[in-house]
Amino acid sequence: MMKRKQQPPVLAEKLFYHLLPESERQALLGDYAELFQGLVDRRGRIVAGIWYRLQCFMALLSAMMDSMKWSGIMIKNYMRIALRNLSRNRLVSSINLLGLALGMACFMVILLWVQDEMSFDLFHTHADVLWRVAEVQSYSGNPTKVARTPAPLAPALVEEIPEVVNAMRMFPAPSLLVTHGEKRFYEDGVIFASPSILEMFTFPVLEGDGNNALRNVSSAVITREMAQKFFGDTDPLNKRLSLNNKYDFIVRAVMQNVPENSQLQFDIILPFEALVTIGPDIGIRWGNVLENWGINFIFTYIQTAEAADRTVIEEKIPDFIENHSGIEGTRLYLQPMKDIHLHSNLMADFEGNGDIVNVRIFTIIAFLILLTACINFMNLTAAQSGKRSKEVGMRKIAGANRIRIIRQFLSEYILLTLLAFFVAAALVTVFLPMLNHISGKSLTLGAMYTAGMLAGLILTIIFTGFLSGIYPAFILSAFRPVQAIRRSLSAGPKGRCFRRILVVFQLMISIALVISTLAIRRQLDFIQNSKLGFDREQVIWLRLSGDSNQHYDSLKSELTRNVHIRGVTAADQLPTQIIYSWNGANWPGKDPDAPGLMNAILVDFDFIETMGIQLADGRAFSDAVQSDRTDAFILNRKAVEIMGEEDPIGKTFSFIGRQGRIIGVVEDFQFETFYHDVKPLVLMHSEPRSDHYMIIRLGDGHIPRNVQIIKEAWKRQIPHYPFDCGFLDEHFDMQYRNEMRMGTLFDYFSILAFCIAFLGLFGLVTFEAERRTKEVGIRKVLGASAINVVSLLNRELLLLIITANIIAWPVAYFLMNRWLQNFAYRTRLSLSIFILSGLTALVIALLTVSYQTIKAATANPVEALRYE
Amino acid sequence: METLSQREEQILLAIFSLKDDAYLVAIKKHLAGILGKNWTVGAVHKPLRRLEQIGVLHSYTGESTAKRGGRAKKIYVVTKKGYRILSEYKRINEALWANFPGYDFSG
Repeated sequence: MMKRKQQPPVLAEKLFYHLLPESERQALLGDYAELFQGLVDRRGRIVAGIWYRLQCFMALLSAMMDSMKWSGIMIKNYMRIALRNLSRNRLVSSINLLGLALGMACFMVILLWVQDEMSFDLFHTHADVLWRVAEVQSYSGNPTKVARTPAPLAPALVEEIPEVVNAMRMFPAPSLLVTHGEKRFYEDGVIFASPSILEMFTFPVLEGDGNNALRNVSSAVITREMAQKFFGDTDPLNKRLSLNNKYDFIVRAVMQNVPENSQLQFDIILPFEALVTIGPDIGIRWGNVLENWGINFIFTYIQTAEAADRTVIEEKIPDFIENHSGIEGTRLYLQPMKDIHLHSNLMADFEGNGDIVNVRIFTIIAFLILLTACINFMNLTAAQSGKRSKEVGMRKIAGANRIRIIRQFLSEYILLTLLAFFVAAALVTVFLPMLNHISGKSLTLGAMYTAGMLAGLILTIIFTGFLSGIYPAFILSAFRPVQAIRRSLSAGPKGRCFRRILVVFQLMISIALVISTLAIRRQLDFIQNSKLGFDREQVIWLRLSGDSNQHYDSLKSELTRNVHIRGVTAADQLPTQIIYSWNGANWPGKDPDAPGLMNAILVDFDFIETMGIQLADGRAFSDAVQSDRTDAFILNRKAVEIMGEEDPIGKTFSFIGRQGRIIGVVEDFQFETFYHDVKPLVLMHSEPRSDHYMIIRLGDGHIPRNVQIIKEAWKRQIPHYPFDCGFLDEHFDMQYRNEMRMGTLFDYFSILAFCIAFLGLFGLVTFEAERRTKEVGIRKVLGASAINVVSLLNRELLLLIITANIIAWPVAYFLMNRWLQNFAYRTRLSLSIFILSGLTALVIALLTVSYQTIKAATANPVEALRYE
Repeated sequence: METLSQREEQILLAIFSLKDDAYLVAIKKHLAGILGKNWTVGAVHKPLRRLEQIGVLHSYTGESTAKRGGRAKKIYVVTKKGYRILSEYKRINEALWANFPGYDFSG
């Protein structure tokens, strides 16, 4: 029995085993073992061990050098051939590269956008255990999900449910005048929140005491941006900020600016309790709102110890409000913090929320565009493959096997993809600012430098190269050497069929995108050009913040005297967006099942006249009739319809604690987005309050001059409030900002997809024309005219486009029809959109290929026949 | 006729002398004894491989010993072709060396 220590080192022997040529492995290992034995006997175990390992190491080294040397030589050769091919077919190669780069650029941008959308609220350390409490209201028929809850909910939850570790209530205020010394700005980002906002959420405090900053009712926390804005470089701590010239707050802490990918967007935090004092200034005058369970106007967030506590809490809270207040019809549920941005589509929610559907649509489009680009690449390279048959033949004769050829082409295409990627990165860098402008985001390439993104990009490059290269690589490697050398420039009919399918697929995607773009445009045009039932042009609105409402009457009388002003009125909401609805409309003889939920707007006199709303019956509010101020109602037709009254004028009506008579009926006008049907609306008179808007219709003529007139009048009457106005039509357009963005993005995507598809078509026709040079030559010699030849070359193309259209139309129709179903008011998907898209595709395709076909058709047949 | 390098010639001759036990380690040792130079495994193995490839050598699997970790020897035999080539080399060498007197170090 051999002693163990006389054996060669096990690990080294194993390595050796793999390094030695297979046929001689056993013998050589035996030889080494024997030599090792000899060394052990003569020089000892240690020297022998070192010698053995050294031998092994040398073998490893030489094996590595060997493989590197050969693969290096091959790769060098592959690359050289690849570059030669690139420069030989400069036109087709650059089309190819550009197409791929465009596709990748588009893909990268969309990915950046998607990543940004998905990253919302992930920056909170406790994101996994943060929830928003929302409710389902079922007062009138259909249950509605509402994002806002009553104020006493948050403290009660912490007190009564042990799983709730912390809670935060928050109310985002409308625009408020914030003043420090000479600096006066209307700020949109003021919120009232409990101190726990700085504990639960990750909003780092930079200066001051974050823990106690909001404990005092007159303290404030501001962002660094606000500190810079109001205090410049001086220390902001303990400085005074005043709101609406009435309420003073002391800055106790400065926090970092709120990240853009946060659902909570604000610049100034005030203590929640301050809502009691400031409330009346911002339209909250329902008594002690902090104790009222009946009004859903604030956002409630809770923190749990573990994510699993969600189910426990959700079992306990549905009837929470009912148990506390006896108010029926509201059931609470939880929304995970991380899902709110994309998955929450609630009433009265934040405005900046995204939509998972859009994210999905755009992701699909990103992949489609990348796929189009890949197909393009595949097509062009496959079409060109005939040109390289000789090379493949030579390689095969020189001993390359199929795997090697495939490897060669794949590495070549991955190299090209890498090149295209750099072009794409350059494109993205150049166009990102423009895209940010369109999408309203501030995306940067910096987001690319995360490990995940980088890995994703590298994978994308390899995947793209692989996807685009695999088909040509297989076609090319399948050539038989002898045939490949003898035959030139023709790919089999089977390959052509496959390429046609690919082209049709590309064209189909492009056409479908164009149809969608046109349909979206149509709908947006329809929205913008539609008559709302009132005239929104040349109307400006002003906020009557603070005590400026007390000067309303004098301002109104001054302005109405001016010939350049047509009308002056006021309302608590802009007529383009009347969102307040109340339950409990009542009238004698009301069917108990008839819904009592109606929208309401509080208006000043002259509202109906100034807005140009049509009176259907009765009269408008009149200054001369004293009772109009307290007990008169004007309803829209829809409301009258619900009442079921033939002649509503003079009938008794009661709503929001007011009893009175109906004095008029107005024609329905559109006061919400086009996603909704017209709802019942009640107009009531009210003196303008500080949360109301002043609405002014300008006369004809130069708009800036007319605005200037108003501005000067404002300055004279209300000098202590800055003049801040907006246009009603702009406010209307703002509501469709997301749709506009989507429309613009679709414009670009469809243009891009078109570009890529037609680059592909161009390359293909270039190849086809080249391939058929001889045929064309012979035809011309036999008497074919240039027209004959052009039509010959275009016939196939025509067929492809028609096929693509036939497939694209139903697909686009189905998708767009679904999108339009969202709108209560929508255009029809007219046939003209489809025909227009099809024709555009056809015309652009013909233009794209005409250069090549005309060149082929007008060429001298002698040249053509001498070719090759 | 194949040309042999000096080393290949030496290895072939060593295989002749070793008769039935001509495997790598034995060849290496034999040559070290005569030449006074210890060649590396590779220096012996590489020529052996070439010689086998060009058909001058032929090999078969020999017995295995405990010393070798139970692995069989690869034993080389000179083929007819090798025999012919070696005879040719012998003739040339003898013709070339014929008139060389040698040098007597003792004198």
